[in-house]
Amino acid sequence: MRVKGVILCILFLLLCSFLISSSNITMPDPQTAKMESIPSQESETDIIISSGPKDIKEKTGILFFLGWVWLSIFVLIYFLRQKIKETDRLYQSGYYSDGKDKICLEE
Amino acid sequence: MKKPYEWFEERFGITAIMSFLTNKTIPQHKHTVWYYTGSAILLFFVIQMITGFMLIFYYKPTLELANASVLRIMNDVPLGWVIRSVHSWSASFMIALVIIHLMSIWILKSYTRPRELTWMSGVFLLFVSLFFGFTGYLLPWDDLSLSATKVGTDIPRSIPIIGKWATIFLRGGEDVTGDTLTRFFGFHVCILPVFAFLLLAFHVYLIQKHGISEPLKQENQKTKLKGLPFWPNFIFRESIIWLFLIGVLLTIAIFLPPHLGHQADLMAPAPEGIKPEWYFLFLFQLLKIFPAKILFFTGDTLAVFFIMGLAALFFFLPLIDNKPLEQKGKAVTVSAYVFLLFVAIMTVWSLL
Amino acid sequence: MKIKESLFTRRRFLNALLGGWFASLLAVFVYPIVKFVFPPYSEPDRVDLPLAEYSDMSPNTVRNFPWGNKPGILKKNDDGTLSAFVAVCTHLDCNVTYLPDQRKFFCACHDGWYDEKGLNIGGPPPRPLRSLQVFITEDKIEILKSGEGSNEKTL
Repeated sequence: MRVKGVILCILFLLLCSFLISSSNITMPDPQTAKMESIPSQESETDIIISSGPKDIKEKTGILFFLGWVWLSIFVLIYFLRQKIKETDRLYQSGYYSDGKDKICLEE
Repeated sequence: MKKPYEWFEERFGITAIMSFLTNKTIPQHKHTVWYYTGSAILLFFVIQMITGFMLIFYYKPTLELANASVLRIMNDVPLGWVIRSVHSWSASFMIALVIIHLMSIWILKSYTRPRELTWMSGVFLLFVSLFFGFTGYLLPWDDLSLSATKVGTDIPRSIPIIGKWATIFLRGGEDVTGDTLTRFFGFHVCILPVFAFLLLAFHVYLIQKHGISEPLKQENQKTKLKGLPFWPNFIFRESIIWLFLIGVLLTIAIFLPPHLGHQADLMAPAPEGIKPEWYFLFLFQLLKIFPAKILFFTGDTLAVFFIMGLAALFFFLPLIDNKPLEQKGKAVTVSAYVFLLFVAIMTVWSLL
Repeated sequence: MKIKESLFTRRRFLNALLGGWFASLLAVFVYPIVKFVFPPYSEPDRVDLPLAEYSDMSPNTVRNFPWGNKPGILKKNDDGTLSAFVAVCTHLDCNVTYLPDQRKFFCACHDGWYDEKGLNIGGPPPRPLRSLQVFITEDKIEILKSGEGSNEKTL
């Protein structure tokens, strides 16, 4: 189980680094349209405006935000798994049956 | 916390709803995983609503200003590019999940009696979702979206008698103009959401009424499957799926934001390499492969008839598959895989 | 110090952890949403007007000019100097106008009156009109945000 977790973490980190390195989070000059040629549209009249963070501050902020979101997701999934174990155990032991009031407002 | 709860309970009566939710059980078997697709669609629909509310603060739905307002959202409005990217990717995720949900119901035959209306309302919801995507695609008003809309709104013209009127209805005139943009905007933010809510309410009500379907063999054997209470056991499991999907959505939206083309020129020739969104690619390819004329009919008309025929078969599937465990039922299951293969092949072909 | 009974149950603890962390995840979404919904707006620090267009103003007359999203009012005083104000009433944001015969600024929304120097003299406006600094160069009039009173310069 632990090995699976470690392997998943490594894969996740690899995916992150791949995404960051190959991403187009460049800093486009917001004043002018960026001239980019996409393989299927190579007409010189095509001006495609790319989007992304404006400066290093925004880029760092976004990456920290994403990092916090993923950390929270893993932590919350861990807590939720504990809750699932708890509620499944309660269900097996018949806590939720025999017509009792089922509101989840305890103590 | 008890007093405000009791005040609210006396006036609203949430206990009845909660006791329904805790008594509702989800059957547990090897196909239970497909039960998560429905609520995942709802998650993305809510994300679309929230990001849509935010985008509508800055988007200007007129011919002159649409493209410029999207550019402003991307460049000037703080984190506008993230919100637009999330909205764009969430649309794709939602439609992908709608298709997965649909295929799982088809293959598992969850539409059998008495759930035929659930299926039919679901097919309408599929059409509404696709129309959401189609109307939303035009709103940035760039070359690509204009061309895609011209093609897309021209397709109904091939239907005899009503075709011309269908096209005029969609376009707000004979041609795609600023009126088309206004009309599509109205569909996207007002008309379709109302229909979506009504259909969704109907669909969800029917699911609660009939309960979650079990695999057919199970229902026939009349053995009691293990059931999991919806609240709180199943909801916790769904929450895990939702969290993971939100993480994936945010990551992809931040690293792969959509671009914006130059403002559409109504008089310019179509740009090279135009294509619709990925979920229309198979239809796009189908139209391409039909020859210009077959017997007395134009290729277009036949293609449209073919598509409409498929849609009708789709809609009436529960009535067609009225003997699910027999030969006909097996053929219907096989047809699901054939359809999936057909769509995959056509989609890949269109990209080559 | 060991206490006889737990302060809370394990279930409560887990619920609090789950709820608390979920709240912190939601909280981190609040900032981007708020930034998006409340975009930064700043007034310009300075606006330049071409001198040629404003050199033919007679005394006791005004001309409007854009001050960012707000209207600005440029007034030629009797002694030849120019004053500039943000032509927005300090009561509830209506645009004011200048009545040359009465030598007063007037806000039609709620009957607000200002004298020719922008001081609030009648009606509900609580503060004088915001004044701006005026500098005249060879070919343009520079209007800047003001600290205290306006620096009137002769045309």
